Amino acid sequence: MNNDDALREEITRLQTENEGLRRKLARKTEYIRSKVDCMLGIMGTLPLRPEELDDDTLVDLDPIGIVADSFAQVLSHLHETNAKLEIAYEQTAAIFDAAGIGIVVFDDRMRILSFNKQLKEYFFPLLDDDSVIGSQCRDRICSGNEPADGCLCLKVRESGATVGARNIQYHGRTYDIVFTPVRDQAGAITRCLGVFHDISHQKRGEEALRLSEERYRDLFEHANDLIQSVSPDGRFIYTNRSWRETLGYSEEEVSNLHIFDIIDPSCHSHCAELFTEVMSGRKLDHLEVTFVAKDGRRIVVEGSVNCNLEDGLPVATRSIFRDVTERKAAEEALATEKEQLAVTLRSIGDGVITTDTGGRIVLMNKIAEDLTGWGQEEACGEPLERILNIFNGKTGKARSNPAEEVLRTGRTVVKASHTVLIARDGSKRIIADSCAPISNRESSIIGMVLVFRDITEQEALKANLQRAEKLESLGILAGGIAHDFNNMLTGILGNISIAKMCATGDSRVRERLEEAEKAALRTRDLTQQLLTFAKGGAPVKKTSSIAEILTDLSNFALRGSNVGCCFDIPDDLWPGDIDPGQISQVIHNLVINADQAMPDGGMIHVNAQNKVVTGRDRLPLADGSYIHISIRDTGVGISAEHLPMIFDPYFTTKQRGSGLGLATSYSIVSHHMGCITAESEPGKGTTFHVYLPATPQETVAPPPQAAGHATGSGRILVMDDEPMIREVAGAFLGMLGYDVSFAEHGEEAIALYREALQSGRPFAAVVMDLTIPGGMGGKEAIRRLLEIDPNVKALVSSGYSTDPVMADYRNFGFKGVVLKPYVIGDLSSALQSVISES
Amino acid sequence: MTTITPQVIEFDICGQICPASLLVALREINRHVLKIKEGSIRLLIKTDNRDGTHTIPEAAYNMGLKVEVQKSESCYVITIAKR
Repeated sequence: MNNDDALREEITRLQTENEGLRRKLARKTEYIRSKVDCMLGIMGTLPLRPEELDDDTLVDLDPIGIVADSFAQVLSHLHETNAKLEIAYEQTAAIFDAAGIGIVVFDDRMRILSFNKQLKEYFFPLLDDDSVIGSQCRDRICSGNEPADGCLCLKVRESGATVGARNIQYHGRTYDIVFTPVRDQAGAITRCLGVFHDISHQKRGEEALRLSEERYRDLFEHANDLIQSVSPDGRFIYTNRSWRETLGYSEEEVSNLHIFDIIDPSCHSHCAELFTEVMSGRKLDHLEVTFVAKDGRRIVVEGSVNCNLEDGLPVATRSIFRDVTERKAAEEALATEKEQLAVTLRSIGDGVITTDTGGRIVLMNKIAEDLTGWGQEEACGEPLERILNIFNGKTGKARSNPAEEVLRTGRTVVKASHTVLIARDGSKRIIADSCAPISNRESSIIGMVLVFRDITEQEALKANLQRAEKLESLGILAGGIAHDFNNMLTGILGNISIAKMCATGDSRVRERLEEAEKAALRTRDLTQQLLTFAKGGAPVKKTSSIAEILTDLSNFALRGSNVGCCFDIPDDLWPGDIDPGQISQVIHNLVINADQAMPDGGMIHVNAQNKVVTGRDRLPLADGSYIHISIRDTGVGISAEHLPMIFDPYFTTKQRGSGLGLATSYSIVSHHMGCITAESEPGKGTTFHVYLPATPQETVAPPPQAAGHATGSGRILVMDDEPMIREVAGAFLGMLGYDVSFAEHGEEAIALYREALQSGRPFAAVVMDLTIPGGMGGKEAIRRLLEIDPNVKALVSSGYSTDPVMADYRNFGFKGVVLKPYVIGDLSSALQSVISES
Repeated sequence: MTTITPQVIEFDICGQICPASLLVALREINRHVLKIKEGSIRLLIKTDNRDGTHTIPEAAYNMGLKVEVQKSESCYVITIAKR
């Protein structure tokens, strides 16, 4: 074998080998292409096309490497994703079990595939999980009690959508249920997810809340008070039934109201400020405001308002009001009534004090303040007995507390008299009082009311009246006998006078006659005293010096006494318009009494002063000028018991007293339009006060000349029905030198006078008895005589010294007066005076 | 928190069709995949092959990357970035 052959052989071999290698390469390339295509298929793309990459480029490009690298990346990503899925699964499983809701997964035939712990607890807590898996949902869950509108699983399958049902009751629990379809990648519903939310607790809470709200709503709606809630913009959020009924709005109308729509315009400004303050958090506990109802009625309410704040911002007001319109009206009426009562109470002329049940003063009116001297404010709360200091005026003992008796017995107590009230300043007043319990509607005693009246003046007037009545009755008696008595005394005295003149020889006879005359004169004085306070005992007044009477009479009365007298009489003491004789009698009586009150001696203080009396002096006198005389001794005094009776006739504590002295003095002063009072303290002395009318403008006339037993001449006509008087008068006149004629009555006297006048031998004077029983008396006779002879000079003579004619004889036509019984001097001077008068 | 502004690497495979364009895109993705996942590189691949707008994004998505395809006037721009 040659080289060529060998070469050819080698060439052939190599060609064969090349051919083999080419086929091998082609197969490998084909393999690569097929794998690449396979891998590209996995990658989701088209296979390589030969025209796209030739074999060399394919090898150079290394698509397997590229795809392998990409696969590596995909795998890596898948691993990461798997890991995340694992975690997610774990998390989901944890959530699945930890969820507070029950979750169950069913397959398309409604068999249970999985469930969480909560669902197991809800529906089958005692069963093994394996026994549940694969079981029908209706066997484990609804147990045939499907929702009213059908099985949710079926509805999911039918609708392909999520469905739900609320408030479904299973095994004593209430659930909200949601079923959701779970689809596969093809979109087919292969599973169904059920979620059970147990709302039992929530329902119970809601029910409790509803009940609570219902309770509160019931409470609010049935409250009688007006409850409202207002938003910060003034709109009503809530009003209760009472609010709406009171203001007359419906709920719908309220929703369109603003708070100021129901507030009275007069309160707007004030309420606007308050509303702002409330919105800022201020609480108003005692607000009073006037609402206006729909029909315009004004409704006064009071209540409280505050605001609910959240984070410092106002949410709504809370207001509760009470309709106090009626109460306010009642209060106003009560206040008005109270004011009226207070005004009435203060205007009442009597003192009024009210106390509580403890006897402590609650109220006093003005008069009570004046009488007690205590003001209402200071007396309020004080015990009654401290303010009302009273005692029995008769016994001098303290009086029991009227409040105690009334509050104890519950009965009205009336104390008519004898109660003396000592005011705060020590002044005393006689009061009449009555106490009555104050009861409330339940008839329980809540206090007492004391009404008392100052009856000091009334008592004084009453005493005066009683005294006057006594005097009047005595006067009637005295007056009744005075005429006859004085006529008889005139006869006795006249005859004694005549007998004395006749008994010139025997001095013993004359002495006896003088004694008899003295006794008769004392009898005349006694009669005169009786007549002084008899009816119509008018004093014969003239302007006189009281100072003179005081000094003269006092000194005279105290002659020979161990009692002295000091005077305090101003020089300018006004003269009095008095009957000097009667007033002398008064002063004499008072001084004698004072003297007798001091048996061991002492001093009488006689004072006099000018006094202008007004109503404020609380004296029983008309306003005007008076002379105030006081005669004070330091003697034994007069007991309180006797003091009110000292001016009574025949009342005396003296063994030898007649009981007429002070009674006469009282009568005299009274007839002078004055007054006499006495104050006394046993053991310390007595003071008499005498007020007599003064005549400041008048002067005292000089004292008249003393009348003498002057003789005369001419004819005198004596008219008297009493023979004894005619006889005595005739004897006196005869002695005095007159020529006397007699008449028994007026008719006869007139006839005699006319006859004498016509005969040219007229009477120089006529002495006429005032009273002729059964015939014409002096009063009528003088009227007739004056018709005959206007210049007739007539004397009126009577035992009725109290007859007005005797006091005011000139007005009746007489020229003079002579009181029976008279002595010759009385008649002489009276005749002289009349005859000498031109 | 630090925000990295990724480097944008752009390459144009217009004129190539699938699967060649996919392989080229995968080669570039493989080359930069670590930095893309880090967020430091973002790839912008321009292609006019419509199939590529499906295959390239799907492959990149399966590799765990974020892909956005936008149509520009002359081609499609496929953005590959960190997911």
